[in-house]
Amino acid sequence: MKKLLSLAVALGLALSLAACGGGTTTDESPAPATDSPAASTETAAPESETHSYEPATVRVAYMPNLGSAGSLFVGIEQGYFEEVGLTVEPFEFQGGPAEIAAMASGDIDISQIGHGAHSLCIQGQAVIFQMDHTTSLSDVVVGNRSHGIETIEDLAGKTVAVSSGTSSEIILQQALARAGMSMDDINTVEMTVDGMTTAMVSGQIDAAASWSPNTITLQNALGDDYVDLGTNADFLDTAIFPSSYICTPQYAEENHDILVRFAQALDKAHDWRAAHPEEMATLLAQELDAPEETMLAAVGEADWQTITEVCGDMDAIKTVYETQQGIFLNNGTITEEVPVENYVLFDVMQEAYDAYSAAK
Amino acid sequence: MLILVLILCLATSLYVALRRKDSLSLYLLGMSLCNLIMLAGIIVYIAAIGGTAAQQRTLLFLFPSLQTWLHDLPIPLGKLGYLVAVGRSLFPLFVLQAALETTMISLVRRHLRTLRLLSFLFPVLSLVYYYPPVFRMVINGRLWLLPVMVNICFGWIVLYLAVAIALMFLEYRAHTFPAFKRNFRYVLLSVVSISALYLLFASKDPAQIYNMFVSEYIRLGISSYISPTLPALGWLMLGLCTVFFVALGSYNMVRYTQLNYDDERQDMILQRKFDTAGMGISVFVHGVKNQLLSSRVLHKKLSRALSAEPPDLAQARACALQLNELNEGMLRRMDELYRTVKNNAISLRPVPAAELAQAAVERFHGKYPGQPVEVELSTDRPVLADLGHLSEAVCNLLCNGYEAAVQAGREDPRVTLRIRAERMWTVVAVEDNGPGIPPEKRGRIFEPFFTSKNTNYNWGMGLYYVRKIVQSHLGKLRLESREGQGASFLIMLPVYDPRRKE
Repeated sequence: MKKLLSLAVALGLALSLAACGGGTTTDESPAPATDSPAASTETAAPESETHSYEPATVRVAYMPNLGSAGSLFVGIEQGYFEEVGLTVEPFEFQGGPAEIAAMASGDIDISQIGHGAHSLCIQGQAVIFQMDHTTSLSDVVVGNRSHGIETIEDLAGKTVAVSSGTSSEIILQQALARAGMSMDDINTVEMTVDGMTTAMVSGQIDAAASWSPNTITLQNALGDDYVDLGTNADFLDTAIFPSSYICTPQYAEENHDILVRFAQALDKAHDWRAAHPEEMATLLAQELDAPEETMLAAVGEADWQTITEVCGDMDAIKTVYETQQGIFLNNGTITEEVPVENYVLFDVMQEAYDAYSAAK
Repeated sequence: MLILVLILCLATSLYVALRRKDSLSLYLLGMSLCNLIMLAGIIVYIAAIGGTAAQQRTLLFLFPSLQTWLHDLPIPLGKLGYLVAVGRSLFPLFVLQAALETTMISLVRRHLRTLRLLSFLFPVLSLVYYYPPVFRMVINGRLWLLPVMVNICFGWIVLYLAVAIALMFLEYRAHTFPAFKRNFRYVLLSVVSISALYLLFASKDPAQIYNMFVSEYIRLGISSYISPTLPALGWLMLGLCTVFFVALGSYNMVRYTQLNYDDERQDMILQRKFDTAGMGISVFVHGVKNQLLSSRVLHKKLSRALSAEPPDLAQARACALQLNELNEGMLRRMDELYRTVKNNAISLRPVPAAELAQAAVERFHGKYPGQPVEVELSTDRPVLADLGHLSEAVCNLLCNGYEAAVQAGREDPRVTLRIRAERMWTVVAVEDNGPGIPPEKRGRIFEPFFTSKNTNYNWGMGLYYVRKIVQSHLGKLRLESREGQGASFLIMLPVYDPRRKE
């Protein structure tokens, strides 16, 4: 069936290519297929010097927060993906591991993942082709003061909600490690990050390893009972929490060109994002059907600026990923050091950056 | 939509179970319940975790707001996953129990108790294995075990379903009576359709919901709930399949109930009719009055014969004889009527089939001496019966059949009595070569005081009596008739197995 589907897609593509052979100038339809086709090089481009791209559709997984969905929806809304001939179908997930599982089964082409799921890339499940931001500042281990929790040490024997394989797990491990504790000292309960928000508010659990904008919701709901037991910023002296766009190794092999175009559009979106963080928050509130004030309050949940400065500097990017790998080695998620080149496609990043710079 | 389908499914089987109150429908209810538990768990999981599956909102959740609500439920994933594991592990048990319940294969039957107990083995082991703390203990540090266990746990499920459906299919094939076969076909179809729906989701490992060894699941490529193999088309097909299967299953189950439900309803009607004594009394009075009128005529004849000079003794003797016959006849019918009204004194004991046939034929010959009855015995099973009542009931059927054949003017009026074993029943069949019973009368022939014959000699209590007797033997009375080709009455008595003590 999958073959049939892809055949149908290919057929539809071929038809749309054939249909626009007549050289129509513009079309109201948003489908990028109506741009001048890549095949007919002899037709003179009437409007601009822009490249003609072979249209493609990509299914992209994101999580409903600014750090994960920001650049994606900026790219869609500002038409940056369309400019490079890409149609994006966004799919909402609640965690990186679920996204990678969906990529593995071929339901998703590209995923935006938080730092927690990078361990799966290191283990060879997926490859990184673009960094989305250098570090997240959104993860917080939240305690409930009314449950007798003031410090991380108070968590001993308490029920703490965590979402394994995601950034939630990493921040909890980091916070516990700082106090000389481990996951064995607490009573963990697996929940989705949205689920743990409800559980915290209703008092079912004592603490939660959550992230923005859920932490904003918790802050509002718990008031004085909200205790911050550890956040990314506390560990930036030794650690870094990047997020990235990834795909399966197989997809990368077969669609190098699409990845470059996608990464190029992201470079552009990163610039816009860094310049208009509030506007991005407002846009995301609409797209994700979330309260605007919550989104605006979450606007500082990642470092939007640095990526725009380092996106052409492959050494800097390599350092970020190497530092990050150290975290996984420390907490035992991975046992062997893996060369960053094995799972980071620096060539894609470089080509994208070059193309974006040239277009500027 | 899937939620609606699930609720529909459960409601139907609940209805079936409440109607029928037998173990088979309880197993069907168990299957529906397990399916509901498993699928509800998966739907909540999909709502919570998002992904491609969640895009099919209308199919899965009906309302987007329902998804939002489910999404925010503070359910620990361990509990949710175990819920799914419970539904998944118990479903095959119910299917197998249902199959064991229906099968009559003697080898299976002989070891029924052992097999029933044995069938608990895998489900119980699975429930232990999937219990989240146990699961973590077993798999942690032994990740190579994960794919092995995933396969074992799905393997036994497939095995159970295959065995159960094979058993039921063999059972279906073994039936020879159309009515039985039809009846059983519905059961088989609903089991197969519910199982198909179940398998669509049961092929995935519920422990993935625990989120414990999440990277292992991805590394091993274990099929995930949140990413269906076919994003859009697959879900659509799945939805349609589900609706189709559940509709089919429900229809079958309801049909299956109706067969018996109608039976019961008819009983109620019969009882009411019998109780509203008006018609009964009028028939009774009419019959007795006719007899008394005949008696008066005979008495007059007798008086005349005696008052003659000399008294006409030959005439008097003839009259006395006729009066005696009339009296005896009336007494006999009074007895019959009394017996019909008050037949609760029945004592069942094992009676060889041959003895039953012989007693019934003797009774028939008491009424129609010398008329041939073809007897075919193809079983030596004993039946649990009150020989007097049951042979009278069979005799009643024989007489009816013979009379119907004679009335239709057959040159060679013929009745056949066959006793044979039919799976769970011993069947006593009485066939005639009469005109058959027209469809419009079929519903009424079992009513009391219904008769197509002269009411002077028949009060229409025959088939009503037969039916009551058969019921008091825990049996069923069925009619199979094709117009012009004779009627065939089947007395189906539950099989009596002296080896089983229950």
